[in-house]
Amino acid sequence: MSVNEAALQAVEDWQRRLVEHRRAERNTIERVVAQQSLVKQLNGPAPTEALLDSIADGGSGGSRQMVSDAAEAMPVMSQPVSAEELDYPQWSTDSLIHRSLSENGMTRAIASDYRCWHLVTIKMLNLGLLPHSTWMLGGRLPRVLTEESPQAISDDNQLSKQLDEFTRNVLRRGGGICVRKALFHLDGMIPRAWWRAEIATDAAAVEPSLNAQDVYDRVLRPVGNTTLWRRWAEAAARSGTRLAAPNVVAGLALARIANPLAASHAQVLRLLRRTMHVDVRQVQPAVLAVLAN
Amino acid sequence: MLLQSVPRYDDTDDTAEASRDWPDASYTADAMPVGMVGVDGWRVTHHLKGAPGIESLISEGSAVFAVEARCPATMHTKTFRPTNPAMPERVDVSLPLEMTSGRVDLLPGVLITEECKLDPAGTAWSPLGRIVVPVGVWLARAAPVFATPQGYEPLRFVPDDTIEPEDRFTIKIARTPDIRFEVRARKSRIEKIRHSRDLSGALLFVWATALAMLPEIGECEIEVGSDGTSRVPGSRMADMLLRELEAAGVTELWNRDEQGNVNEAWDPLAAASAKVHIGPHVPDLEDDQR
Repeated sequence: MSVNEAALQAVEDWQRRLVEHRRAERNTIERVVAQQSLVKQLNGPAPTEALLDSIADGGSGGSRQMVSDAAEAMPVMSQPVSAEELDYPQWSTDSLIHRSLSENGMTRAIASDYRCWHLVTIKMLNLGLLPHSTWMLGGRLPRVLTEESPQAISDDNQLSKQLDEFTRNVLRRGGGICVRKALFHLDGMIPRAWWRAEIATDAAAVEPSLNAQDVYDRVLRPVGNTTLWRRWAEAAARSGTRLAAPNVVAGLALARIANPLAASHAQVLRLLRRTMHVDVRQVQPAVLAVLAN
Repeated sequence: MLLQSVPRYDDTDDTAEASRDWPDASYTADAMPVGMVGVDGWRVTHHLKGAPGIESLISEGSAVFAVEARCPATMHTKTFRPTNPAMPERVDVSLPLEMTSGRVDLLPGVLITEECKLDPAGTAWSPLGRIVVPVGVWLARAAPVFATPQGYEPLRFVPDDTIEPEDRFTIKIARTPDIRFEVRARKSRIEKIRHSRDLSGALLFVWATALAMLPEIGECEIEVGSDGTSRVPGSRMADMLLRELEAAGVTELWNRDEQGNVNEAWDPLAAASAKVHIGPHVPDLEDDQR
């Protein structure tokens, strides 16, 4: 599948206009104008148009059309998901998102690009597959943020921070915010749902005693903010993908089954340390589980 | 068993873990891109000297040269071993394009494939005598090769012996994921094309035919910016090709005027001459495609 490079670049530029890696720079007047325009329009009846307008940023109709066409070419799910399903992820939802998108052409190559996920979001919003605008914004938008002048918001730290949070919510409910590329799978609600199910499915394929839901529930299901999923994902990003090998994920799942009360971060660290000089694909998950415990 | 320490030669620049138990050894590897349809491919050649214990395990068949390929962006990882027993130092790596994005790290190493006894002669481990090494251990690691993604290679050669002998070749446009030209010909003819590096050779005609298709490919449309610079926003391959031709002095390109007409001065054969003259990179064939 060929994704229009110029459309991807437009999405990248758009994100750079809206949020800065360093939050200290959030309240420049240009940024506040861009943020206010996005959330204000997104709060209205046409969220797809809001995103397209924001990405095109007053550019030519051609560039808006180009982004719209690129979004149209992206794979999407075949049925809608609710706000509750996305806010409280379960295997049933994540596997549905994964299966549905994969059947329609989602691959790891596409899924590793947060810009593609923003295009996917645009198409899904257009088709009514994602929840209402309030969900995209992460809550009800205070009137002051739409009615106050950009200069007044920029001058008020509290207001500019609030506007920045709403903007980041919109991005995280789309493709995510690209701060560190290696951690793309932690940001963006739909991308991480796809990745969790992708990793669980791969791991289950190498260990006959496990099914994908076992792996998901034991290792990848996000519960709270200090889950094994987050520990695993951060360590996988740092360890040059060794932890992402299906054998290792399956081994971790078996380790959790054998020793569910063990500290998950200790299991991850032990596996990392003990497989330093080993080709993990050569090692059975059951052996890796022993190493983790 | 996996926790057991063994002598190793590690040249990965990971200072915390690096060790050179064979002080006189040297281990390097180089990677050459190879052309295949729909995959990123490299041929990695290993060069290990001065570690007799490891070398004898390789010749006995208890260890092999291997390459661990990692794509950090997609978290896809796979280990490759030699496929040709006559050339144990050569490892072919191929990753499907849908599983890679951006940089691919190739980590060459020597991998233990069956439990064996290592002779540590020449290392500080010598007094211990032969040391048992379990399966799956990396006994040696060379510095990683950060491979350039193959998505920019315009030509992909595919051997196709169903093509009639009198037909020279066929070219079709492939989108995997960027645009590229899939050149199909009989295997023997591909060999001739690959080795014809002079201006009258078959390679010139392959390039000319491929370049002539550019104006008809929507993704390859040229945009001229307000500063007069040209670029191809829809295809990275075509964009790189454009820059390469411009650098070679080709000023008449496949851009269209306001009425949508292709630049009449665009001459695919002249451009192909420049491309071939530049010194074409013609990818080798992958073994399993022959």
